[in-house]
Amino acid sequence: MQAATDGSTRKIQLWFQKVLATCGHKQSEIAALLDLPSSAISKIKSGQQNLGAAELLKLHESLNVPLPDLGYRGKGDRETAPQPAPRGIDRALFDAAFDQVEQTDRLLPEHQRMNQHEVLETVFYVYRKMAKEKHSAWRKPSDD
Amino acid sequence: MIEKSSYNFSRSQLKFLDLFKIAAEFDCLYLLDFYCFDLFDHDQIGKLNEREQAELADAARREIFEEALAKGYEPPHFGYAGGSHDRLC
Repeated sequence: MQAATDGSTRKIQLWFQKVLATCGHKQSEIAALLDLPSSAISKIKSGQQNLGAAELLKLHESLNVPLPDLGYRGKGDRETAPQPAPRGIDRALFDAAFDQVEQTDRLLPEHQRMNQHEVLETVFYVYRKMAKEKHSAWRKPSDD
Repeated sequence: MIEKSSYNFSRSQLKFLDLFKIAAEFDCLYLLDFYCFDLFDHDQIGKLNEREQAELADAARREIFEEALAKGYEPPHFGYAGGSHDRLC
């Protein structure tokens, strides 16, 4: 299970993943550049450890990669303004929904398995159903 | 036996292409790059063979779907009961 992250931390995590994927260096080389153990790279990738500001800037300067876009920063920076706020999703519920759909799909014969669009749709419906149930359960005591 | 579509894509190729399309639609192709790099030490997705593409699809789809949901994915109007899927093939 991944550590809970706020929006900016998650953006930095995804930025870091993207840098790793596109910089052309091995993870061990990035670890050496940042003076971190290789295990820290895996932890940062998975969100179990945060990337510090110093490391972030070091990556930016050493690899010449753009800094992560953490949101609208000012009048002259409109092009970097964030997109309409994405709906936050409950990651634990998403994981539960995804696992449930994946397990169900695995039980089907090969020729009846869902394609990716159908899996995504089904995950969406299961996730929404679980979220609704969770919300109802949460509201129940005050309804009595 | 591998099931083929009329365009001679195998099931696993379709699985990968469908995921690629979803990732492109929700602006998260970098997740495919990331997992490609993670699994195969490069990000040349086009150079993967069919087995590797299937492996990549399995590894990346959870996060791609999560990103799609977080970015406001809505199922197609006639979705659940077999309606208007915009399939690649």
